[in-house]
Amino acid sequence: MTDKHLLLIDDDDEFTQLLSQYLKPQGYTIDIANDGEMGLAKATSNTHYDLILLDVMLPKLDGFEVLKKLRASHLTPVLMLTAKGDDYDKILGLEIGADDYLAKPFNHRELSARIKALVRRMAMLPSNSAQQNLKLGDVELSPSTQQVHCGGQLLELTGTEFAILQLLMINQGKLVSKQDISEKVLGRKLAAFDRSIDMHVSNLRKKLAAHSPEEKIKTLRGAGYQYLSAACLS
Amino acid sequence: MSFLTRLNPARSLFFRVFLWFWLATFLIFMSSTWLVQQLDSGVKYRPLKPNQAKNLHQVARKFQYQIDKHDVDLNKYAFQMSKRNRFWLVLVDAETSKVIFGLKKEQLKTRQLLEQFDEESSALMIETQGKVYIGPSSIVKNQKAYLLYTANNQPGGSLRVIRHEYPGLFLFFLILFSGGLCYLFVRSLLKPVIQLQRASRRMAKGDLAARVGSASNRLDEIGQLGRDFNLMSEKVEILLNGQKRLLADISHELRSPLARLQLSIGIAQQQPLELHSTDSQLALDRIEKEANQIESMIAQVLMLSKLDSQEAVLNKQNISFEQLMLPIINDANFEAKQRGKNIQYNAQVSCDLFVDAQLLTSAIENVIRNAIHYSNDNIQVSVIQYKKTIVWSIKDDGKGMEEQQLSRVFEPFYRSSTARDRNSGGVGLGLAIAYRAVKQHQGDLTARNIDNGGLEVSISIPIDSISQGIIS
Repeated sequence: MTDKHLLLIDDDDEFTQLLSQYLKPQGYTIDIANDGEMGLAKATSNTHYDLILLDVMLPKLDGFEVLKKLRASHLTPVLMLTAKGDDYDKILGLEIGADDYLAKPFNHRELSARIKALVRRMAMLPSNSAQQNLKLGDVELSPSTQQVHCGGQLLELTGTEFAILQLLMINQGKLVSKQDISEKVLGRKLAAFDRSIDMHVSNLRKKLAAHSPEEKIKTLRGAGYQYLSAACLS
Repeated sequence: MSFLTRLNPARSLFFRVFLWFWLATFLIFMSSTWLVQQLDSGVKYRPLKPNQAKNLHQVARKFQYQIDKHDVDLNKYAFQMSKRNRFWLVLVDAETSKVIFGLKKEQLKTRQLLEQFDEESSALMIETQGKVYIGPSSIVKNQKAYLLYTANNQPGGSLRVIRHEYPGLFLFFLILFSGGLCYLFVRSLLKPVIQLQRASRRMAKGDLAARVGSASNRLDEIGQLGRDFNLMSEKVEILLNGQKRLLADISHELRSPLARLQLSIGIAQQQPLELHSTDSQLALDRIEKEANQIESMIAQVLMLSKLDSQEAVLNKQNISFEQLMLPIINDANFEAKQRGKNIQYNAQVSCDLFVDAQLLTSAIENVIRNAIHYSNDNIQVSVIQYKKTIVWSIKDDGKGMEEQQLSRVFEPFYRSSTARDRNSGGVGLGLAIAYRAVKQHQGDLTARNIDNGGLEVSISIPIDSISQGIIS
């Protein structure tokens, strides 16, 4: 298996050095950018990255701006690094299209686990059924190409949104708890009152609704989500 | 009751000054009146003005005419005439020099005054006791001569009249009037002092932004005092805020090196095991544990300073009471069981809340965890809705606390046991954070000793502030 390619965008030079030193033995190839502009340039270059670690406080272009511009063309998974205690708006980050966030300083094991989850998420999904193309109503999901078509139109989904949709479609008609989604897609336990999953599902819904009038994902308050079965959809 | 206390001169500077001024004004007025009366006999004689003479002459002629023609009764006609005109008449028997009409018996001085004239006297204007008498002019009935005076109230002298006729009423008005004046005067004098007092009281209650308003613009000593007070409170505010900010700043600055430290630990732990001795591996684990401890402390300090700042943003959401409490109680039960203790939970609330659930959960959890830690066997958690407030009451059966410590447990870094043993958990920030979290919900957090041992912590949150989102 080839090394996974990561991009670190953080202005703390020593931190990025240590981080790359820490991650290399775990089988990652690391690129480093120390400001927002450079980060964005690298992220949108021809190099394919499996994950971008993006700090919020950056010189020249802050993390939110980088993410916004990146999402205009790329769906690369992004893990936002926030600073503890700052009034960082997690909701905003997720709304713009971040896949997850982690507050600095963090335990190295935690970081390692999150990166693993985001990069190798696809492998964690049930493999057999996952490899088959899924077609429910006018939504078509192809794991091999990582593409989703809705009403014949290609949807631009982030990796996390894709993974959530896939999980829900596999379990169509059944309730999938937020806890399950968090563990399978983000690789972490859902903290109390964490709204990350809600934000991702809300983004997903918006994208689906742009091409199809029917409601496809039902919220079961406090419990989780359900992809409505074909019978209900008619 | 409080109104009466305010009027107590021993307690209220305002009322004391007011009373003194009032008394002084009143005494000065009375003594000056008395002096004027002593120096002034109170009777003034003036020559008649032409129209007054003419008027007197007309009245006398009319009277004489009525006597001659109709032989009217003197008293009756004088009475009629007095009623019909703006003046009234006084008649004196010229022979006996006795007033026969127009003066009351008590008006002794005026009687004596008018009785001194005879038919030969020329007419005069006599001012006395707020009245003006014009005369005499003589009239004759049955060959007997009578002296006639017209009488009037002194012009512009209704006050004089009141003073002479109703001295009690006059005194009453005087007291009332001077009282009103004194009140306004003293109020303007003491208003800045009261402003000062209010500002210092707010400051004492912990409102560091308290300043003296308009009083500090005055040019006098009170204005100076006000400016000094403002200067002082500004310095105190800067100092205290600086202290708080310093703590937050240090924590902020510690984040970067700590992040690097965590990574370095990670790198060290990645080395193949054979390169480490067991001792160094143990030491590394220890370093990691301490680093994690520092991390959680920093997170707590930053949370505390965030809640302390005015612009703390609450992430409020709708949540049912059950939804909020169930995970808390489940976790608490789990923790209590591990320690061989027992939690009784009893809630009689079933409403929706609009709160920062994460914040409130951590606050309630913290208090319960504390109770579990300090209890011997049992912890009671009960929640009731009392009028418009939801009250959580968390009781343990431990040793309780010394009274003077009760008020301090919500201060940051305060721990009841002087020996700061790690086992008691945390660094004394948990309750401080809980306190501020509850305050941010307009609620209150209090601790008190239970009579038969143990501590009760109550969290009360007004329903208004936590359920306003339900309708929308």
